[in-house]
Amino acid sequence: MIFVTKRALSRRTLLRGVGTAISLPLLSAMVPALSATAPSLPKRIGFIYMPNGVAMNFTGMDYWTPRELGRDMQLSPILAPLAPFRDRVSVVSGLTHHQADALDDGANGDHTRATSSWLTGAHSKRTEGADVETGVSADQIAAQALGNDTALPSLELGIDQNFLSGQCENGYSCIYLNTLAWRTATSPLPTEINPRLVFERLFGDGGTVEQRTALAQENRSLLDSVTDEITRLSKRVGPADRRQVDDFVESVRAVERRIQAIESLTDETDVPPMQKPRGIPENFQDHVKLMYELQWLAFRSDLTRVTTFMLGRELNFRTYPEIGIDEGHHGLSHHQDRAEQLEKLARLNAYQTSLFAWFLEKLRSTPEGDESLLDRSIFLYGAGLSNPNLHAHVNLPLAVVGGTPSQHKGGQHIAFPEHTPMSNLLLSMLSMVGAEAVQLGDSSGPLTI
Amino acid sequence: MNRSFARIARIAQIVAATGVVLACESIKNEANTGKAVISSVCLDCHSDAERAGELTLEGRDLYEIASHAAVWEKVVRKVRSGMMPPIDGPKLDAESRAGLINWLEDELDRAAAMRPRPGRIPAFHRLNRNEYQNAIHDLLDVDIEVSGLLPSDDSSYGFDNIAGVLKVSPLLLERYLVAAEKVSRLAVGVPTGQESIDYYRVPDDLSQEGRLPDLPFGTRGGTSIDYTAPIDAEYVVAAKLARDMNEQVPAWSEPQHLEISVDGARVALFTLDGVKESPPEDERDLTNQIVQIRSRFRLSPADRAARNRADDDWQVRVQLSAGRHEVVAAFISTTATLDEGSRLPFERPYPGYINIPETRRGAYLRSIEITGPFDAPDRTSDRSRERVFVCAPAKDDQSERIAECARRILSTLVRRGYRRNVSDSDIEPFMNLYYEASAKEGFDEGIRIALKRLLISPEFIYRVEVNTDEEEGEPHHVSGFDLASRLSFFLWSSIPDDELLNVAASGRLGDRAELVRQVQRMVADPKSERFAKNFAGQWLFLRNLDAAVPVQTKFPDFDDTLRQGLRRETELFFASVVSEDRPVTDLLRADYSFMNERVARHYGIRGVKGSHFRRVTFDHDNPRRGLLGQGSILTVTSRPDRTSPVVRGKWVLENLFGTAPPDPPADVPGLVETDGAGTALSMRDRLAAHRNNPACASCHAVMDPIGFSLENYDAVGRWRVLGDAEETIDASGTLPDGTILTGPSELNEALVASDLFVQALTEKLLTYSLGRGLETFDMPSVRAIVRESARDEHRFSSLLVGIVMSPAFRMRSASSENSAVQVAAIGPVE
Repeated sequence: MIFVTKRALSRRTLLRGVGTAISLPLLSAMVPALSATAPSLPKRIGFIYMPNGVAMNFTGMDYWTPRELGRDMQLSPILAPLAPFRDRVSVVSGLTHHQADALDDGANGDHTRATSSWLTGAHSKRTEGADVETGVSADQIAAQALGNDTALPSLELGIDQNFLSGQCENGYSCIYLNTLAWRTATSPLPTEINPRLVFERLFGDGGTVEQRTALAQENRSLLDSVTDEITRLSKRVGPADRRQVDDFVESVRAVERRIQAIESLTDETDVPPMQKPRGIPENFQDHVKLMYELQWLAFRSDLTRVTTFMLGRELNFRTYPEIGIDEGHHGLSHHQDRAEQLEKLARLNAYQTSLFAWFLEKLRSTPEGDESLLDRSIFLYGAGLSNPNLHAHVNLPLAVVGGTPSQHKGGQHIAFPEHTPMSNLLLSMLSMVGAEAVQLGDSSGPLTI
Repeated sequence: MNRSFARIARIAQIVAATGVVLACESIKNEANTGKAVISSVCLDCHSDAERAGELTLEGRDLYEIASHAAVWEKVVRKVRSGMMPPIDGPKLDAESRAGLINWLEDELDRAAAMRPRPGRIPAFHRLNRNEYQNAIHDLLDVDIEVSGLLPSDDSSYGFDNIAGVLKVSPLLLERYLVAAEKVSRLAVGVPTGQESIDYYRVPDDLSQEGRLPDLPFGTRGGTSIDYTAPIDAEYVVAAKLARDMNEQVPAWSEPQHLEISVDGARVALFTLDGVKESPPEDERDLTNQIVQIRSRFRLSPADRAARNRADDDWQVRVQLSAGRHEVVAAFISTTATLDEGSRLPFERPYPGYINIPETRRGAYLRSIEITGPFDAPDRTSDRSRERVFVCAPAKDDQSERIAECARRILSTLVRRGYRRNVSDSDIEPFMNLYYEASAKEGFDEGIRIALKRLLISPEFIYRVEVNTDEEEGEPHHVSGFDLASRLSFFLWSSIPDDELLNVAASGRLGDRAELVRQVQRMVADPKSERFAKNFAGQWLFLRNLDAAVPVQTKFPDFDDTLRQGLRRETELFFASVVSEDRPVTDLLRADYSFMNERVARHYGIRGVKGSHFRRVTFDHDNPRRGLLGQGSILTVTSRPDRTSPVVRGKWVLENLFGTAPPDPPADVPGLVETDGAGTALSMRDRLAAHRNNPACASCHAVMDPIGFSLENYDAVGRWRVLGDAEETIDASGTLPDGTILTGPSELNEALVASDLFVQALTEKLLTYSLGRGLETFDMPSVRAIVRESARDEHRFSSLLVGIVMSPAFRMRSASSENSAVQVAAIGPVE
C-alpha cells in the first residue's frame, strides 16, 4: 500500500493495495525553482558513525588505513566497497580526540566519551545527574547556518535501541551514549531509530493540504498558550531550574519555526516516491538501508541539509549472523590482537561500508541541476575509537566522502601529524558547506584536505 | 557481619532521641576499635604520602566524623562490601571490621538525625514515555502504544525515570503534539476524516508450531491484537504470510487455513492451497536434505510467482464499534499425524539461517495490518467518552448550561491531569479554547481542543514541584499533592487516582497511618503490576531479554515464546514477593517460581501443561532458588555464545550487593581458548590468569567465585553437567570473606546472610522512587530504612513504608542547600 502524506490519495487507491512505489519524475522537473543556477543550491552535510571502533592494523594487514599516501592510495579492505567513488574519498589519518581520554576523571568512560566528543571535541562531564554537559556539536553549528530555510534544521538517526539496562558506563549517564548531536553543551538532541517516525517527521501524517494547514495553525496557537503557562511557572522556580524552562521554551520556538516552514512548503512539494515504512525492520541491513533512503529523500527534497547517523551505539552486542558473525559486536571489538578476531571485525566494518556505498550510489544517480546530489553533499564516515581493544582515541579512522574537488581533493590518503585534533577536521568540513566556525571543542584551526 | 537485636534497639534509641548521645560502654569501645583500625590498617596506604586511590585519612579529625561525611560514607561502603582492605593488603578480622563500620555509621547517622538533608529533585520532572502511556490510560481510558509515538528516554543510575536527564527537545515536543492530536481524537471520538494504518509485525523468531499463549484452542501460531477503534465504522484487516529467507511463500502439501476473528467471532478464513508433491527425479542428488525437501515441491516460475501473491487479497472488511476489540489471526491447527516434517523441528524458526521452512508444521504469519475508519457517518459513545464526558448538554440547552457543562468536564480533566486542585485561572485558558472551537465546530470539538491543550501542558508532561514563598532557605515538606504524585509514580508509574488526590487535598497525607494505608491500597491495586514491570524490569535487566541473541546454532530452541516467557516468569515472581509481602530475601531463596509449559520444559520440569503461568514449587533436590535460578537473569548475564562467570559475578555484585567493581584496564589480553597442545580449555582454566595475576586477582577474587558457582546454568539458563570443553563443571569457589561455595545454593545463602542485599535493594528502590541518584547524605536514610525493616523480617512493605516515610521522599531541600533544621520541627525518623 502507498501511505501518502502530502496529499491524501482516494480510498480506492489505498484499498487497491499497489505493491510497488510510484516512480516519479525527478525533483528538479517538478520544482522549477530548484533547477536554477547550480552554485546557489544548498550544500548538504552528513556524519556517519561506526560504533565500537574499527579493525585498524595488524601485522601484515592494514584493514582501515591505506598503506600508501597521497594519490597512490589503494583502498583498504574495509574501504574497498567505496571503490566506485574513489575519486571522492579522502582518507584522513592521524587525527585525535584528546578530550575523549579520561584525563582526570578515572579509569572508565572511553566508549561514552568517544560518542560525546566525536562531533563536539569537548570533554564530557563525568556525571549521571542533571549536570550532564559536553559541547555544541558540529552538525548543530551546520544546522544553524544551513537549517533556517529547511523544514527540519537537522535530522538525528540511529539504529540501536537505548532502553537496555547496563549498557552505559559507570559514572556517566546513558544520555551521552545515545546521540551525537548537542544543540547546546547541555541540550542533546535524541536520535530516532524508527523509520516510520522519521518518515512522519519529514512528511507529516497524511491528509489534504487544507487539513495539514488547519492542523498546523491549531498546533501553533496551542503552543502559544503553552508558552504563557511555562513563563508563569518559571517565576516560581529557583535559578537552578531555570535552565529546564529555557530548554522547554527553546524547543517550543523550534517547533513553531518548523510548523511555519511546513506551512510555507505545502504548495511546492510532491508526493514522496517511497512507501511509508511500517516500523523497524527485523534485520540490520534492511533497517540501515531504510534509514539511508530516508536521508537521501530528505536531502533530495531539501527537507533538511544536516544529518547524523549512528550505525549503532557504543557497547552494543549486536550479532551479524548474515555475515557469519555470532559474537556480540562489543566482545568482538576486544580482539586482543588475534588474527581471526580482527578478520571478523574487519568483515563487519566492510559490511557497514558496503551499505554506505549503497547510499552513495543513490546520491550519485540523483541529478541536481547539472551536478549530482552526491556532488552537493559531503560526509564524514568513521568512528570515535580507533583500536577498540585499547579504547584508543588517537589516529581515528575517518574518511571524507562526496562533495566536489573545491571542497576536498578526493582520491587520496592524507596523514596528519599524530595528535592533530579531529576538531580541526570538523572545522574544515563546516567551512566546506559555508557554516564557518572559529572554534569547536579543542580545535586549533582548520585543515586542508 | 550480623548485628544482635540489642544492638539494633540501641541504635534506634539513639537516633530517636533528640540529639542526645548515650555514652554506652560498647559504643565507646567501638569508637576506639575504629580509630585503632584506621591508624593501624588504613593509614598504610591512605596516608598523605601514599594517597592510594587519591584518598588520605591521615590527620583527619576522628572526633568529627560528620564534618567530612562524604568521605567517610565512601569508606564505610568500601569496607562493608569487602572491597577494602584489598585482597593483597593488610588483613582485617571480622570483629575489627564490624567495630570500624559500626562506629562510623553511628557517627554519620547521629549527625544526619540532627540535620536531615532530603536532597533535591529538579523542579520539572518529565514523565517518561511509560508513565505518559499509563497517565493517558488512567486519565482517559485510552490505550496507545507509546513506543511508536514518543522517542525512548535516557537513563541514569540504571533507571529511565531520573529527573535530571529527562530532557526536552524539539523532536520530543513535536511528538507530544502528534500524540495529543491522536489521543484527543480517540478520547472524544472525533475522527480526522483520514484513515490510519496500524501495522503489527510478528517477530521472526517466534515459533508458530503450537498454540500460543492466550490464543484460541484449536489454533496454531498467529497473533492477537488489542485494537482500539476510534469510532464506529468499518475497518479493513489484512494478513500477510511469513516468507522464507528468499522472500518466497513456502510450499506444503496440505492447505493452510488462517482464521481472522474479532472478539471471538470468526470474520474470515483464508486458505493457502496445498501443493502436489512431485515424485523425485532419478538424477537429482537426494542426499542433501534441503534439495530432498525442495524437490518434493517443484513449482514452475509462474506457479511460484502466483504463490507469492497468494495473500494479496487476504483482507476482510469488518464493522467495529468505537473502543477496544480483540483481533486474532491464527492458523487452524491440524493433528500432528499430518506433520510433513521428517524430524521434530527446533523451536526457533530458521536456526542458523538454514532455509527449510517446509520442515515446519505449516505456514506462519508475518503481519496484520488494520486500516480505517471507513464510511463512518456518526459516532456513538464508548468507554473513554464516558470517562471524559461527565455531563452532556441536552439538545435544546441554553448556551449557559452548555458552557457550564463544558466547565465541569474541563475542570475534572484538568484537576486529574495536573494532579492538584485547580482554580478558575487554571481553567481559563482551556475555556477560552473551548469557546473558540465550539463556536465554529460544536461542543465535542471544543472539548477536544481543550483536551489536546491539556496533553501538551507543562503541568501534565512534567511533575512540577515549585516553591512557595515561605519555603526558600529551609528543607521543607513537599505539598500533599506533590507527595501524592511521588507515591503514584513510584507504585503505579502513573498519575494519582481520585481517592489519592482527595486524601491529599484534605491534608491527611501528612499523617503516618494514612500514608501507610495508601501504600497498602496502592500495592493491592492491579496497577501495581507496572511497578514490577518497570522497577524489576530495569533492576533485573529484564528489558535486555528483547535484545538477547543466543547463537542460533548453539541454542536453536531459544525462540520468542521462551524469551517472553522467561521475562514473564521473573515479573510474576517479583510481583508475588511484593503482593504477598514476603521478606525481600525470598527474592533470593524462594523455592517457587512461575512457569508455563514452555518455560518448564526449558528447565526440564515435568508436569506443567498449557500456556498460562502458574506457581510451580521446586523439588527439594532442584537447586534453583530465587532470582539467580531464573533463565531471564541467567541469559542476560551471558554472552551470545557462552556463559561468562565474570559478567555474572559483576552483575551480582552491582545489582544485588550494590558494589560495583572498578572497570578493567582497556587492554586486558583475551581468554586463551586452548592450551599449548590445542585441547579446549574449561572456563575455569581460561580464567586462570584472573587468579594467578595479582593485579587481576584483587577484583576477580570477588567476582569470579560468584560466577563459577552459577556455571551449571548455561548461557540460556538450562542446568548442565558438562561445560564447553566437555569437562564436568566445577562450581566451587571461595569468597573473600572465606565463605566456601560449591554451587548456587551456597551463593544464595551467602547473599542472604550478608546484609548487603537488603541495603542494595533499598538503594535501588530509593533511587527509583525519588527519580534522582543517591548522594552520600542519603546513606543515613538508607541505613535507617534497613534497620527499621529488620524488625519486620525485611518484608517488602517495610521497605516501601520506610522509603515513603524517609526525609528524602517527603521533603525537599531548599535551593540554598546547606541550611539546618531543628529537630523539633521535623521530628525524628521513626
